[in-house]
Amino acid sequence: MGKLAILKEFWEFIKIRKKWWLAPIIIILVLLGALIVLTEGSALAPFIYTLF
Amino acid sequence: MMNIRVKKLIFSLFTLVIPFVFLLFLELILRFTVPYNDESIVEVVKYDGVEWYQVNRSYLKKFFPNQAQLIPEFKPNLFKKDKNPNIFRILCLGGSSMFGTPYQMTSNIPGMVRRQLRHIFPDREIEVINLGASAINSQVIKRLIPHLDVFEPDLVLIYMGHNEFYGPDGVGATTLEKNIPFILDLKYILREIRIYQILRNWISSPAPPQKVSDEKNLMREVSRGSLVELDSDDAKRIYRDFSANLGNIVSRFKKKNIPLIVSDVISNLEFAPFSYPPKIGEVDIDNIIEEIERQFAREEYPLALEHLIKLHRQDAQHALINFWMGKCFLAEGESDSALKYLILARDYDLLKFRAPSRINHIIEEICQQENLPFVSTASYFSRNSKNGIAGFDLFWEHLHPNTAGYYSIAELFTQRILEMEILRTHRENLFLPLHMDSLNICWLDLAYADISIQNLTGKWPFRNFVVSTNYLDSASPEIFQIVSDVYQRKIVWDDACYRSAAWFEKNGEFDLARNTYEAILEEYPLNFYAHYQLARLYRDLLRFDNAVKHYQISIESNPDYLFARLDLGMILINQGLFDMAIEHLKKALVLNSNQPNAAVEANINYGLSAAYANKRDLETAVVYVDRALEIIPNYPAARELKQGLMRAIPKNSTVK
Repeated sequence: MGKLAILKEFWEFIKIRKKWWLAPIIIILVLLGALIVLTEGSALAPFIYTLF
Repeated sequence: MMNIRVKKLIFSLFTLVIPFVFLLFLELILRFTVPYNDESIVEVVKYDGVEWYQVNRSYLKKFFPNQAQLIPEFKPNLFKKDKNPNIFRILCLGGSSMFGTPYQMTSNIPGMVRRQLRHIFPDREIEVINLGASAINSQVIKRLIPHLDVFEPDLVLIYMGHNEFYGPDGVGATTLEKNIPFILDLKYILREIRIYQILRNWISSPAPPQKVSDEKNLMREVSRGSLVELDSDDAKRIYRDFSANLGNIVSRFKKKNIPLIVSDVISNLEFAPFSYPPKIGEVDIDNIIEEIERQFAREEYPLALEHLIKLHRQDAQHALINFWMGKCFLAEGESDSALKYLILARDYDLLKFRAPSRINHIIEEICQQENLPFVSTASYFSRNSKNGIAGFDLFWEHLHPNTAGYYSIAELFTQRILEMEILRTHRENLFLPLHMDSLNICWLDLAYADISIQNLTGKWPFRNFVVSTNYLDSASPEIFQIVSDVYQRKIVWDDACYRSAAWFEKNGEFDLARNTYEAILEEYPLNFYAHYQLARLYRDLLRFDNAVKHYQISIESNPDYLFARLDLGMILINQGLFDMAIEHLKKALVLNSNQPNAAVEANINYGLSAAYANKRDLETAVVYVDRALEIIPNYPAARELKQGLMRAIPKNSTVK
């Protein structure tokens, strides 16, 4: 199962079961996730690292 | 009754707090249950009867992208946990040049500074901790500082500046990071949190290893994305960050009253630029340079220069044109002009593996502002190089010094330490010469450098670059295999050292074997096994005084090491120190009973018998020699001893 699919399913669960108190946890995790994606840098860079 | 609005408010607040409480608990549970090997910069270990801190080699993981297939590591240095007043501890910070690339052991700046200081101050315990690592830059070092209290340094040496462009958060930083500097700090704070670490591993799981066939394309991509012009926005940001980071690093040490010495950085000016614009106007640069090369080969320097000056007018910032102008001026004997153009060639190189001049200006400015001890490696190399141009005499390739280069930098730092009078001199300030023996640089370290640099320069961005690998070339297949195995991490470094030393011993190259053991002891002065091996070698060379000294240190470090006691006992018998010999041999006998070995037991009993015989306690001597013969009936030396004893024992004695 894809990473986005897990989040989507979890969101459905919150909506249907009305477990809104879980929403902040998801929001925080999504924000952290976004930060990770936006600060991870290039995966290509390690090729350079071997040089210096 | 409570107002319904207040109730709602409390309920909402409670709802909001729940996730944070949940995350807090989750974090606590994870901290206790999920181990992370990059958590602490040091770990406590116990070797040779002493508690040490050992640098955590994986600590740098958090500074590199999760997908990185090769994460630089620290050297796993050891330093005493309890710092006694006699210890003088130096912390060395920097990138691969401080680490010592391509060397692994003592042939680097920290190793040579340590050797020189140990020589000059024999009464002090000199500890030099090498916290240099490939690819780390001021962004990383700045963030290491708060974790360095555990090191309790008396002095800090800094040699950094080459990795500012391509190290962490250099030109590879994301747009968000480039535009909001606060994000960088936040990123590293969050990377200390376990939930964030797990989330990071989940989102950006490590990439599978690249197929060889993919490599070329990937490398082309890297070079395309990494070209930096000297006055670009990226370069300006790098200079700004470097200045701020260095200022920050310096002020933190100053606040703690820890003295520091900062050096500028130097690179090989004779090295051709890696990357440059492919055309000048409409003309292909490769065609132009082919013609220049032909003129240069025919020693038609004025003609080549005329051609180059015209091109320079079209593009004064072309790295390769500047480089060839520098070469032609040098051939013409105009060293000043040559130096000027070769510096420009380095600075305009579009692949910024060598720090441009601006980095050194920043270092010098900050040292002046902060009134810091500053050493100029760049000037020193220039003074010690032919025509004032730091070149292949002191470097392997574009950047990393060879043994002579590292020796020069270490000499410069040591000289400055002496000038600062932090340590009281006990000897004349007599520097050890650049020699493998005096600096305890072992053959393996030199051969490893050969193989490492050969591999490094055989790949992008090097083109047709040939290095001379003297040590490797003269190696026999067996010893070559050891170097190759340690390079490929099939065996660990210590193992490779012992294997190579054993090979040298086997082949009668005792100096190389001794030098290897001494190199290990330079790194680990109390290592009982290296002391034992060195003692054994000295014993075989009949240098018994040296052997006894090292056996004794080996036993002090590890009183339970049987073989050191056995060997020392035997030597002491020959030196007439029978009581001491008996003491060691009896202890050896007890140690052997823990893990019985018949041959060893027979040997110890034989030794005890010989010691007692020399003390004229013939009855006891017979008891021990009988035990030896009981274990090994045809033990020639024991049989001979028994016969001698029987001859010496009076006939009316009850001894059989």
